[in-house]
Amino acid sequence: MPVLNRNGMEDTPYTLIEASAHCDGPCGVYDPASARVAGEAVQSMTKKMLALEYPQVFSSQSMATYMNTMSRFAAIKEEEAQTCKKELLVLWTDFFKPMHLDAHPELHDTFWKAAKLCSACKVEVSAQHAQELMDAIEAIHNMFWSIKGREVPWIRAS
Amino acid sequence: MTSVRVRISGDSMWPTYPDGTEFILLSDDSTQPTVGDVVLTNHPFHSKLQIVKRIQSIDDGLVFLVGDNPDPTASEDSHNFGRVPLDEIHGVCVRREEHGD
Repeated sequence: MPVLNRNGMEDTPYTLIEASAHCDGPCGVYDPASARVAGEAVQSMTKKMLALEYPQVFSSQSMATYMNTMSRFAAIKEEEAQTCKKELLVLWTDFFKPMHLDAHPELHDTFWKAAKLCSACKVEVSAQHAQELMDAIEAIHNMFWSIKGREVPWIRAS
Repeated sequence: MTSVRVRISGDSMWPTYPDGTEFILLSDDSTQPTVGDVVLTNHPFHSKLQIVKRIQSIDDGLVFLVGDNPDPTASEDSHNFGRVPLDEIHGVCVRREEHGD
């Protein structure tokens, strides 16, 4: 390897070494798709709960069936909203770094509101908040892929 | 004499040195790495991978290397792979303007 010292160098042809200045182990394995799938499930369950009609024939059997179905929708909504929040928080705290705020100054506010919307979707049966959650995830999707330098379209599974 | 330059990829040295920054490598015997220097070495767990980090401390011939990025997940360094021997440091990386020529 050629030797240089602190006292000067000439701008002559040089050998270039490519060196890594990367982050820790999980670097590069993030994808907001996981939050998007969970968010879609929340929205789907919200719609199903709002659309579920009360049984026309009142009986122990019909009420048990109704409540079982409604309970399952609620349980899935609760679980997926928590999953969505977890996936968002991982993206927020692990993938996104301080330097990304220069290009996306709204980043923190977007994530904070998205996480709050996950909670709102658990507490409520709100089609409006479920849609706002999906809108926030779409905004995060756009920020994420912008930082990665790739054009990845926003595509929903449902 | 052919000089040696080092170009980094990644953000672990941000905000001081962003992705793509090029350094001049000082590797002569009179250049002894000291605390605060940005240096080139090999990753202890990936022998073919060369990395650039800053020396945070030197104790008993072992160097603790860190990135400049304040995010705790933004740099794979001695927090992950431990201290490296001082004699495994290949050279000190300086920017042209820091070099003063």
